[in-house]
Amino acid sequence: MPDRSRSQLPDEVLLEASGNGDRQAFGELVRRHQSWAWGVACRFLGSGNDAEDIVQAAFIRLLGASGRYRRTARFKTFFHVIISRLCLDHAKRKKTEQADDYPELADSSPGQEEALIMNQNAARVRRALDALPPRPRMAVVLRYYEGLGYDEMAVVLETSRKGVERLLSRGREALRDKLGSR
Amino acid sequence: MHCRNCHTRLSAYLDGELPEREMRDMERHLDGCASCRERLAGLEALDAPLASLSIPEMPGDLGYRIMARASREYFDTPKKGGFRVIARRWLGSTATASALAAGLLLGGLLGWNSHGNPVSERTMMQTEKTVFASLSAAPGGSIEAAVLAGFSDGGRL
Repeated sequence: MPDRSRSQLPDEVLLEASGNGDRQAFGELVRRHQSWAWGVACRFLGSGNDAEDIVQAAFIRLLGASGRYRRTARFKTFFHVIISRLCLDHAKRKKTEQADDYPELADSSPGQEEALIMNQNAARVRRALDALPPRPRMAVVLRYYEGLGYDEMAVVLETSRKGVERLLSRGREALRDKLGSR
Repeated sequence: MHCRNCHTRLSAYLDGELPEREMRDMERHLDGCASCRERLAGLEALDAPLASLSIPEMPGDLGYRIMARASREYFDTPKKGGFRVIARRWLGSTATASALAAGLLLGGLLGWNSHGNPVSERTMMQTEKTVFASLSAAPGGSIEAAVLAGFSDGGRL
């Protein structure tokens, strides 16, 4: 397969080629999807180190599962399933590290004061997310940061639309209580 | 609609994910219920803080590390069931399959002979000839053809 053409091929074709040993096709998939995969893992786990492990593992698992992939499913949904499962498994095994990527600022000059407030707000949101049980937390991540609809979320979270509704409702109510919104 | 029912559906209402009729029911209830409207506003207000959540910058060499691991664990590693795949490919060639059949036939014949079956050397040579003739006459001939040829002429086997 010529190098130039790979950048124009759909994900589904690249995945099949990757499964057949085409490294460049896999490289193209990594280039396209590593950034959002990183976002999902970081937002769910709250730790860059853990996120890196999960993203790597997700791509390897994707490669291993390429033979089972059918083009009837969207590639992105397929990959969301993989990365969500890895994140949820990880959450079961290990209590998420608390806001280790949000260092405190020592100085409080005007510019830095603003940064400090932003930093504190982000840490507050992080703590609120970390306090959620894993499945409602993943529902919040998929809805707010990935913009998935309920049907797609149901596939990713292996539940029904009603199940998604309940998970999101539970997550939002808990977040509202933690973040002190009305 | 009761407030309790409304509460459980507020989240889906906010996302516009309820069936049309239920959306209308919710709207009617919210129009007349200040408490539920306030609850809805509380959920809407989550957008801003959640949007403020920053994430650590992605390591610049993450892609490289993924590729290195993929090479180690996938591309440069024999796959599960690799033997079956290789065997299928190898046997997929008709010529290879025919040669294998001939080998088995001759091996079996020699083994039989070594256990005292009174097959004469001449019979064996005839069988060998027949099998090889069959293979050379039809390169790509099937296992069945080779075996049948061996048995039909050397029926004494």
